[in-house]
Amino acid sequence: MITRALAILLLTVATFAHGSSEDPPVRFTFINVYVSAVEPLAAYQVELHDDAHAATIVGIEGGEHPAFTAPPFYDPAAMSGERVILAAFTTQADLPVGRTRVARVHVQITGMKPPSFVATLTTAGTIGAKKINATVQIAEGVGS
Amino acid sequence: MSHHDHHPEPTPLPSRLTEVLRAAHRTPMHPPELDQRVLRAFERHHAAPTILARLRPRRVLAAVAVLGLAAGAWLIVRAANYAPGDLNRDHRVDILDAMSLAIAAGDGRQVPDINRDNLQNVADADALVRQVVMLAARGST
Repeated sequence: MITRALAILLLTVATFAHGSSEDPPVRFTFINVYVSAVEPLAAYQVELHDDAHAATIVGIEGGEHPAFTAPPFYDPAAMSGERVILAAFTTQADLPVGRTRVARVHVQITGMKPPSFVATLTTAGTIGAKKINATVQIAEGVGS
Repeated sequence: MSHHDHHPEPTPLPSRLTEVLRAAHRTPMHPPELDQRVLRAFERHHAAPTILARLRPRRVLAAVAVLGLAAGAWLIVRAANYAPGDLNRDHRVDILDAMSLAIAAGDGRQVPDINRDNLQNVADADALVRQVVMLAARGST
């Protein structure tokens, strides 16, 4: 009986020890997506992907300005993937000017390899859906 | 001694004639610059004509007209091939088209029936946005 109990204990310890040494480390962080425009920003479309294939997208939330606090549109298939297209527009009169955080993308990073997210601005617009010049920037885990 | 071995002695030229012939070979008949000029003129005259020289004005005009017609036809065909959601006619469907559609629908204007529900309203803007952000249509990795 004691032998059997010891065997089970050893097997359990061995299993946990084996599992902990094999499982890659997992951490969670977020990517802030900013759009900068000289004119009032009413619409944007951004593509975000991880070049390093190290992260998966687990959540998406909106931005800081009241015009973009709602989560942007995205394909639900992007969840648990490493690429997403974010898009949003508003017909509100109060619009952000200059640099503003338009979205926050939560990601899970598995393994030691750091992610390498790249953002591309497809288009941006102002009042009346008029196209404007703008730029996109991203920052990992920065800000509130 | 055979008959063929016999060579008669050449008759010597008169000394005056010899001097004149030698003098004629010493002095060139014309200066070398003239030679060069004649050679260059010859080369120019017989050189292969360039492409521009071969072109005939009428043929050039005809070619330009054909190209112009082809470009016009291409533009007409391209203009007629706007995607249903390409409201701003920039040959791509993006969030600005969805925004335009939402504004137009809000104003009660005619909008394309994107979701094919036989209604033309703001729901078509939502359907267009879903198309815009869809990964599969844009080569998901």
